[in-house]
Amino acid sequence: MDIPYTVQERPDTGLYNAKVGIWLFLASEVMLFGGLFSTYIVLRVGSMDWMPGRDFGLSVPIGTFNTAVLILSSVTMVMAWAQLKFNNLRMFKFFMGLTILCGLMFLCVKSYEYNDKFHHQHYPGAHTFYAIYFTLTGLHGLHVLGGMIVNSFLFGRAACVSLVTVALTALYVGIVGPLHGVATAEGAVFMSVFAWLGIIGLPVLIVILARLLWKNNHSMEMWKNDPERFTNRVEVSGLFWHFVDLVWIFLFPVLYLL
Amino acid sequence: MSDSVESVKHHVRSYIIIGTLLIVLTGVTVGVSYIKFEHSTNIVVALIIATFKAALVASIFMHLFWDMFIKMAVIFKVMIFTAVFFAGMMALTLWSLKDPIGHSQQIGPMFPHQAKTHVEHHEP
Amino acid sequence: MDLITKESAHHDAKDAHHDHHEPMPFWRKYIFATDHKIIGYQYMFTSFFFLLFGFGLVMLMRWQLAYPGKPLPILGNLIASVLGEGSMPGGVMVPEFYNALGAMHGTIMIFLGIVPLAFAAFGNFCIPLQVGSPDMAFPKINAASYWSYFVGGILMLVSFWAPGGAAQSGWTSYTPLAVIAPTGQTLWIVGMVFLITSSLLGAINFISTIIQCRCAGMTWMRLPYLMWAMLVTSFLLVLAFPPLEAAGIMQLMDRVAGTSFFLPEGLVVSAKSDVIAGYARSGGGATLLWQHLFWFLGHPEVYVLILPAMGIVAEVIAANARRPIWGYRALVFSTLTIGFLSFIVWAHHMYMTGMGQRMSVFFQTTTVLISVPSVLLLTCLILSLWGGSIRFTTSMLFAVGFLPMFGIGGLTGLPLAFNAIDLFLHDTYYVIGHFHYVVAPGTIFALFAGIYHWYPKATGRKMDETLGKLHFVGSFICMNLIFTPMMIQGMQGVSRRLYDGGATYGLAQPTLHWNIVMSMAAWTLGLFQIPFLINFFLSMKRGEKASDNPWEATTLEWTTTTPPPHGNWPKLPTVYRSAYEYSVPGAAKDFTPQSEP
Repeated sequence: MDIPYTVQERPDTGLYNAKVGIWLFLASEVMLFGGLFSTYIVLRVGSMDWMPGRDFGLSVPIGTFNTAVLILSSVTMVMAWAQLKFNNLRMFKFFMGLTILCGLMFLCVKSYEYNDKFHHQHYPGAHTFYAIYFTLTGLHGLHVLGGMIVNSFLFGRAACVSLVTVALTALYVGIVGPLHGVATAEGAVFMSVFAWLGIIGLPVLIVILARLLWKNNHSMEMWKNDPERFTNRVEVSGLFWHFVDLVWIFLFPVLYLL
Repeated sequence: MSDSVESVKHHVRSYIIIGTLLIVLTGVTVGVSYIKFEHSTNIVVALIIATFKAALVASIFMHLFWDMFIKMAVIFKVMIFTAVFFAGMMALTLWSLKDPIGHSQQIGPMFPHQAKTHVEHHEP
Repeated sequence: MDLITKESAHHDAKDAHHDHHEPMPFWRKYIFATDHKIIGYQYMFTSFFFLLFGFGLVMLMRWQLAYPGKPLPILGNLIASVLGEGSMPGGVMVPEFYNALGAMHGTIMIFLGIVPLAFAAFGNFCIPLQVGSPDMAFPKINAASYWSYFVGGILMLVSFWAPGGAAQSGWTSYTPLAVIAPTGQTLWIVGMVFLITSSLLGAINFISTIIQCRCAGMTWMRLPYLMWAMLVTSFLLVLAFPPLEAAGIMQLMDRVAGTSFFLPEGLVVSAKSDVIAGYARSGGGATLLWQHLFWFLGHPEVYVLILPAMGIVAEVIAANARRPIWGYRALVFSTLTIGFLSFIVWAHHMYMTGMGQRMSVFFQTTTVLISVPSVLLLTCLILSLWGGSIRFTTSMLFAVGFLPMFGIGGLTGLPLAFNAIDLFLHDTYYVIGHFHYVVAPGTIFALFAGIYHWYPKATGRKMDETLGKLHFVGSFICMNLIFTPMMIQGMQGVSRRLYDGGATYGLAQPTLHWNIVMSMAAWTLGLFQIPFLINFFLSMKRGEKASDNPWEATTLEWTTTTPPPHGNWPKLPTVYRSAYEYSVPGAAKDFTPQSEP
């Protein structure tokens, strides 16, 4: 049973299936971030004491650096796809690896920024600015993380398993730790459920993942047997990654500069 | 495949050029934000630059520039629809902000023909 | 040509390690299935359970409404022992539990019942079969969307045992009440995130399949109308659900992270809302924002509930009236128009929030406008009976029954479009009567029609006609007995969400007796679902055997064997005709399948 146009493009649309799917998904993501941006507008317009982001303690140099990192990662991402078109697996891995590292750098800087905020008592509840700042950048960060996980799966199994392990553990520790101090009574319940889920779930997830991947190196096998399909997967992942960059291009001036 | 190997080779140059341009524009955005325009102008300028950067990412990195002219792709139509929608949503939000209840007489009539002279109200 | 050699090259490459004949283990074939038909059945059975559960919740509520404050015999104490004394101490329902029942009835029926059945189950089963595809465009994502729904459903069920009870701030979860509500609300939000994810993944799959996987000769205007309905419904889901997801995230942040997205300053309601770290909430939030974001989904959501039903009714009517659907193009363009307009009417749910003239004029205009294509749809379906030779099978009874019921539902909605009338009718039983008429004897009847119609394709046997007619007559009478009195009570001014049904309100007294009538009718309606359930399960083994095309219908799903095999056809069909070639003058038979040259 072969589903039509998984790799081949359909003549009247000029697209293969996954491309249609990812663009639809991106449309839904536009609406998701759009909902949050309209919240920003409503909260800001209704506020008596709103200031530019830098007066709320956001660091413009750090934000600019992060923006440059994401832009660079977009370039390396599209170069990775191009290398696959040139049939150059080594250079694909080089560029894809760079993309993943850029994503990691972005998240590390973000984590530093968050901890700096908490250090200065700038919690999400302290002002509606921080509420929308943490929610917008937090959701965006989760999207960066998701993109990185997919990219590492496309890179190869060793990278995937190690990245997923490290990233999820760090995320888990990074969330449960600081947020414990800012949670409401309700939130504390939520956090402890989340904590237990993680303590049990994370090792299970990692074991399942390792078992799944150690038997087959899915990505490299697909590259060997069906290179066009693999290239398409990288292209689709790239589209998602560019979108994540695009959201940040709007987030940065809105939160940090205006 | 969507592109031949030759066309991708040409595109690689544009990826690097546009990437550099985006970094430069980021610098411009930051620089311009320090200039003290009137408040709303700051927002407009920053958003114009951001939109332009986003358009570059969408058309070059996300390949829409070439898809647009070669294939009039479905995604292009979907994207335009989404963009119009989003703009409409923002516009409606902003338009409704100047909509206080009970003060509409002070803002003025909604349609020109409603602009009548003041009529005496008779108490029952 | 290039395409052909590439195609065959792919085939060879994939065949090399694509063993079509290796049997799959049970858990991969039926549990983590990727075949669209199996996933459709999974959605169907799970949604059956939730529809029955949600109906059970309201049957419970109807006891309180008919006999406020009286202990419910036997069942009351059973519930108290299962859910804890906080729900029904001594068998008497407390107001918080009534609210929880109401909120969860709405949530479960809409998001766990109707949408999964009408959209996901029928969509999954029918779409690849009717467009001529071996499966959905993304089978694994299809499976993921079902399991996401499953997890969301579990979370919603579990919330009944949360301390303080399940979500009890209405299915609409208005802030600031929902922010300070008990823990069940947090579970509601997390459950909704899973359900939204499920719908998004499903919708993306459906659109991609309809655009990309149509077989040769299946042009847009040859698609069965059900496909157009599913396409527009999917677009509504893709674009409308995410703002609610954003709002849900923000309400979650308000509840667990101490933010004030929706809390105005100074609204210190209880110690629970103060942050552990010792500082009070900032305030400065916008309470109405929740309503805007919620109804931005909420309104397209109701079209999600009705459009697949319209599609199913069109298919059933065409096959059983033996004539083409009247006005296919009008149906298609009306559906597209409804899809677009549904995004710009949302604030008609918010007329009473103190909105100014600009907003209310805009939304009144668009709301009245959207009634035009809606009436067009209904009219086309009614006209599709004209001159037909109608065969009153059970599915046709339900489909024809849908028409006046949806008519009543839609027409009673029209007064609500006007701000001035809504002043009196907002949040009364009139509104409840209106939307239930559209969804209950509306959509649900259409879904029953679909089940009776496609059952022979899925199982190879027909459902019993006698039990089916009993099911129909009983349901039809009871539905009307439940919802017409609601209109009466609503026009009297009885508010919704009153846990005693208006017993303590002077203006409600003249219409209070209807509460007992409605409750009796609701319990009887429950009894009349038993013949359906018996029929459904018994007919699988004992039903009259059916051919591959028992209804002599024209669409592609009837051209394959029963049940359709994995991949649907050994060789994909080619389409030569439009979807409704019934009683074509000069043709050999009274129907011509789409794939006949």
